Amino acid sequence: MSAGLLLQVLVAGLAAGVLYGLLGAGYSLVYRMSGVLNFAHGEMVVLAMFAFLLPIGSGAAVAVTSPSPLLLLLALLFAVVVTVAASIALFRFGIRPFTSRGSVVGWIAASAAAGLLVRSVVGFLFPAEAYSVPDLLPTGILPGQGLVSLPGGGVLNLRDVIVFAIAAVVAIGFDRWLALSGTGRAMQAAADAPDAARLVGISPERLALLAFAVGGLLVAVAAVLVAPSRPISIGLGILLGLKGVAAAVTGRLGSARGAIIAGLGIGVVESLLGNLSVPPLALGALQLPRLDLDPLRDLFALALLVVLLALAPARLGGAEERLD
Amino acid sequence: MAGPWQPLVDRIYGPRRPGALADAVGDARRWARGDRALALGGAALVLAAAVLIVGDVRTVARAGAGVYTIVALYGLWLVVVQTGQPSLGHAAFLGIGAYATAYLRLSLGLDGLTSLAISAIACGGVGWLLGRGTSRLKPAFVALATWAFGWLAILLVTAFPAQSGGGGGIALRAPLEVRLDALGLDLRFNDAGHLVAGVAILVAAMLLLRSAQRSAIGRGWASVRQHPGMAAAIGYDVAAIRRRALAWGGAVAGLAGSLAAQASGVVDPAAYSPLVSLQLFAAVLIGVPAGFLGPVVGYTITVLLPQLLIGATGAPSDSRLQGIVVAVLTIVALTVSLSWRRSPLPAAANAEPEQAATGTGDARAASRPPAAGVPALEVRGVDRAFGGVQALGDVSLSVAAGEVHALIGPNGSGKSTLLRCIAGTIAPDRGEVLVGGRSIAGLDAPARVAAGVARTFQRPVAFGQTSPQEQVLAAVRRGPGGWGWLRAVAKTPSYRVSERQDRGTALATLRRLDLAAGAGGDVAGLNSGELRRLQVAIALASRPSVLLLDEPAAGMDVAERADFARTLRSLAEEGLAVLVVDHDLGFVREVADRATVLVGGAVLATGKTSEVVRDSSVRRAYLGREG
Repeated sequence: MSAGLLLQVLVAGLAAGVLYGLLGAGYSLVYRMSGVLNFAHGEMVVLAMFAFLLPIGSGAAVAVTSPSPLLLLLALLFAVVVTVAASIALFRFGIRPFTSRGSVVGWIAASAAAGLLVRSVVGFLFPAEAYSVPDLLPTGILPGQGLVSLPGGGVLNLRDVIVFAIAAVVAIGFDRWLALSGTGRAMQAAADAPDAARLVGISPERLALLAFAVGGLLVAVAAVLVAPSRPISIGLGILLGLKGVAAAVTGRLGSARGAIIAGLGIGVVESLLGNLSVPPLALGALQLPRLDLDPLRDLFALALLVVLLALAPARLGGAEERLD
Repeated sequence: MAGPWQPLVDRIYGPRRPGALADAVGDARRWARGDRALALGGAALVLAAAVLIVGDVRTVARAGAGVYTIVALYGLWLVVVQTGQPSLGHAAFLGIGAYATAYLRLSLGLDGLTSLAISAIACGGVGWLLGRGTSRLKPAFVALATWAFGWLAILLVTAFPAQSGGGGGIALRAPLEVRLDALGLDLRFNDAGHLVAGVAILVAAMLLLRSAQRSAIGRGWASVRQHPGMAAAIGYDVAAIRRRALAWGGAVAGLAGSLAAQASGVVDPAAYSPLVSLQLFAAVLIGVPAGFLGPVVGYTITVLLPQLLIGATGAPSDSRLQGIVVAVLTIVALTVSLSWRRSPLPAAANAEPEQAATGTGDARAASRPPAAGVPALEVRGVDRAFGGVQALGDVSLSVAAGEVHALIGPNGSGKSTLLRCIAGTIAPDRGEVLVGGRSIAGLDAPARVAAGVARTFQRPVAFGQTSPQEQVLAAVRRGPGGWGWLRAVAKTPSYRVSERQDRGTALATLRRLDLAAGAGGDVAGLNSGELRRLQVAIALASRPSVLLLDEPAAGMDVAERADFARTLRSLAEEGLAVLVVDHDLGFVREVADRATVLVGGAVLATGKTSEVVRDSSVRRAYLGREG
């Protein structure tokens, strides 16, 4: 693989990985604040993408050619509001009733069912197979549609670079907010010692609600940034959600920074798998044809998740506690 | 009449005794009268017959597919409702069963019945392997891992379309055929045949599961589900029970998947997607308040009811509305069923309460007294550090059979750490622990219980939702062992005899600790002293030779405490070795023959209780520094 192609693969991977990372950071924060793995989190991506489409021109399978920047901003705002509101509603009506009673099976089922509901409502409003999403970023004004040819045959998509940069700013801002702001520190206190936090006037329940809201915000931003790069469909959500969980678990559940870094790693590996193939092999009598690794792309994050859970549950915080 | 087979007959039916026949007849009569499953089986057969007679071809085919789905749901019911593992990947087993059948029939040319059997066994194996990965995870992570497993399975199908047929699936042309040449039998299964076979399998599966649930096996499930930590502490191999349930659940789903594919003639990947797994999971949970009929109720609410509702509106059946109706119904039903007041999860069923009340069981203490001269418990030079803190330094003590030994010392002196080292919760850095002269290093919790060590906890724990008698019973016999599960499921007379004895033992143990009055009641009604005594009863039920008690008398009033001390003394007189940690020197003086004082992780004094308590350095350690 030439250096140019490698750069192309790397940048595309980072741009995709940013979404996994931001999703994973949401999972992590929510898990840390409430002990809940939100099975509807992935569907929130889909909700955000289609909520973004709704004000622009619903019903049309192909997007309006060039919506005005004002409309796009309005749509972004709408997407953020819808996603955050849905996340809060999910926590308030779907999760809280069960966590407050200590029913683990209850919140697992309720969050999964809420995901189903989001999915079917979006599917009801947007019945076509796939939709293309207009770009919030004015990449059209860049020279050559933002595509730069690289030596060795690679093509660098400047949009990917911009997406990555914006997401990196969001991620770093989020990380600093957690570490430095009063609310962020209250969150850490409540996660480490909920009872002690209660004594000093911090309400873990309110912070858990806030965690869901912030998770929704991160999802909305990431979704709107990444959506224009390919046609979207309602089936997208669950798989994205799983990749987000894989990032969160790989980055040690509970650490937002770990989730973002792991998400970037997963994105890069997927991008590599999509562009690599094992050359034909001849080992004596054994003849192996050229093996394309592209079909394994979506499997990677899942396999990583399963292997990690099976091999190192204690390190990830997933092992059952023993009595005494 | 005794022939060479007599040992075998005895093994299965137990030794002959007077009245055995009358008992067996009584049992059978009670069973026939009280068992709703039997009535349900009859109802299912009648319903199936009605569908067969009046239904058109399409209705029959759909009814058959529905019955197979319910069969798969019972497999999931075992995993989720009985053993408490939130599995979100159950549909993958249906898929593995179907694809395996397609491969065996089309590529290897095997017949349908053989393929069916191999597919089901293969799914059982996959379930077992999945269980190896998930059986020690927290519930939320079990859900995550099984969810990922379901996705992995379906993504493999899409990643290798050449082998899997891709989204279009695989067509199985020839129908399922059962040939028994010896009997001149040649059955080709059409839709009606599948409906009949499905109902037969369903009824058989229900009867077997119900029988297992109402036996010692079911008590194991309930213990693992209600309190895995406690179940492990009384000697259940929690991970093995979970694995086994996943294996059986997988095998049942594999069977259903293989049959459904052979009935419809296609292996359709859409039927095995993770979304189907979610619906199956929701269906099983929705059915929880309906107890044993849960899967049937869950299927009705999540599948039949939406079809009816949409049918009533006159919309086409593939309407986009369907998804919303299914989702809303699922959420409503989930909320209702999970907030059900009375029993959120079924308690271990009480099979034969009437015998238990009169049973005279054996509540003697030690079952395995050690050889003469060997201490029942010996701790040799145990060291244990946490980080830089030396919690225990070269601690040695020994407790003889028949002795009550007190472990005393100020807070933070290492008493609980020592107890945890003996119980096996943590491993000592150096030194060893011998029970009856044998080292128990490296044994896991169930093996230690089997070796004769039982314990109670500083903070009392109990299984929720079961009566004290059921809780003690769960510890009396930890599952039937070996091939005994067959006997337990078949409820053979020998199993019934041992069950009756176990109930008697449980009741006698409760009586011994003065808890007989509330034996069949609710644990939530016990006061803290009773709860502590229940802990002791549960620990005793595993027939230990060494009993470890962590502050057993805390929260008891003076009279209770004196009674309890007498009980402990009488248990010791029967050969039990008791090591008791307590703060209350009055209680210790009353109950203990000998005492060991720990200060700063080291033994300060050991000897006769009266002498140790009088010792000046001990008094200084207790009253001087700690004040």
